[in-house]
Amino acid sequence: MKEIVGMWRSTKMCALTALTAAVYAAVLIPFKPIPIIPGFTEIRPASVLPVVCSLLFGPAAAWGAAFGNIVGDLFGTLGPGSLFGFVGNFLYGLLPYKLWRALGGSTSLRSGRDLAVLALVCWTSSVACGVTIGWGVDLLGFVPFGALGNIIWVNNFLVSMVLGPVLLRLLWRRAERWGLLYTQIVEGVGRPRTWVLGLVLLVLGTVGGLVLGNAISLGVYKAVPFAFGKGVTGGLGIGLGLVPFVALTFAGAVLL
Amino acid sequence: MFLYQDKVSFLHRMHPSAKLVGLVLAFCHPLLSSDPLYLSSSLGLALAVGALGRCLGNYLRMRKFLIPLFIASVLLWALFRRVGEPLLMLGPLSVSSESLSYGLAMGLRITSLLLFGVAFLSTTRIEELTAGLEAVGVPFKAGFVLSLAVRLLPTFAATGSEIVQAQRARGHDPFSGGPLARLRKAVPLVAPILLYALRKTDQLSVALEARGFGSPDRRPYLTYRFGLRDALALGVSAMVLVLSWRLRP
Repeated sequence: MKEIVGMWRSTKMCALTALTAAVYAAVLIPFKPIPIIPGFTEIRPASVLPVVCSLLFGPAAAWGAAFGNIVGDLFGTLGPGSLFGFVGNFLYGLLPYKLWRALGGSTSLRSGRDLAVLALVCWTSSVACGVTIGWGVDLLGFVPFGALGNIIWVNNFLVSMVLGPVLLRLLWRRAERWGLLYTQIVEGVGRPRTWVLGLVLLVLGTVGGLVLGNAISLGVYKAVPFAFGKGVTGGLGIGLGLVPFVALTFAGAVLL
Repeated sequence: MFLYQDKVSFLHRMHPSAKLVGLVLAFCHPLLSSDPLYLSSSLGLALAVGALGRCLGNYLRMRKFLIPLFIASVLLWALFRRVGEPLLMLGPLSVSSESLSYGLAMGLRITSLLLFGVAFLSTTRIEELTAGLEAVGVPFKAGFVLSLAVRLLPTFAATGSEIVQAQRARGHDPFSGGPLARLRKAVPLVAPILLYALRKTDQLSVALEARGFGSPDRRPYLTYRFGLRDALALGVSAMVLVLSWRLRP
């Protein structure tokens, strides 16, 4: 986890952070995104960038995705929700390289195992991002979790699975040749000893958050054994009910 | 591309950190209550702030975005919030007069919050934002990277548009077909932008280091002074917030 803070000592990693953020925000513009919930989300090909950049640039992509989201908000959508957007996108850029490192994915991306690992990486990161942003935005009373949380994770997962493998095959070798992979820039980025516990906590946090968030949001919470999540969406139901799962997700990200 | 308007106004002259703190205080106002009448006062306050910053024109520019957002927020909350006697049932979702009232309140809340944000962005340059962030404790490098990303954005956006035009000239239309087909067509557009960014990385890091990036001895060109006007503005904002909190329904 120390590479998240330590990377700021490297000028190259700072440059990669700024470039990731700028590209993330810029790719949205020429694509004329298709709005799903006007003003909140749309089908956006840019969602593949945090995953691809994370596998290449590691922690720089996590900060880059978070700043890129803020840069996007500077065009008129700056609000308290930007804070949750920052955190959600940070996780979306942080988890792919941590999971990939933990699960031992290879750079060729040709085998079925690599694609399965990539699918797991994309799914977990997308859900972590969707749950965090959906939770925060519901807590603030902007949009119900059941609407936004699901749209974010489905959009992120679909886009990163369709575009991710192709872009990674195109870019990985080049980035390696140019010495831009995070493993070539930052020292001490091996798999930590706590990765199994981290993975378990992360999966519990993301799956639990997604299931409980939808259960509360759609009014079926009485059918699930989470009494602390009792309430209605827009009240403190989602806000309090999802706190343990969001905390588990963060704990998992730290330990991975 | 950006919302900033080069004008002379009270908000334009405020210290960046005072504007940032003021923005946080303004964001608190609509979050204090879920009553539609109270939230109408938040909207009124946002309009007053817009007049103070001479940026009501930008509010108007944002209407094509804010009106659909308001409608979406009202409808979604009306469907998802389950309170009161249902007037209409749609599977697990229902609409009641209470949920409609809550939806209206949330629509007003999000509109007010975004208008406060627009007022801030219309009166604050990106270098002021960076200085303000540093003044409130954000590390210099983080603020600098944010500012650098904003500066690089037009370059990448222009590159993106050029790539789209070039691909179109070759007969590749990225905007035709269903959502999945359009997604697949994004590869020949996203890949060149990413490669362009990769090529820029080395140049950028050398340029940054040549200018002393990361050196502990920093001598910024721009300096801002926190004055009496800033203190008064923050005091009034805090008083409005406390009063609103005490009088809220």
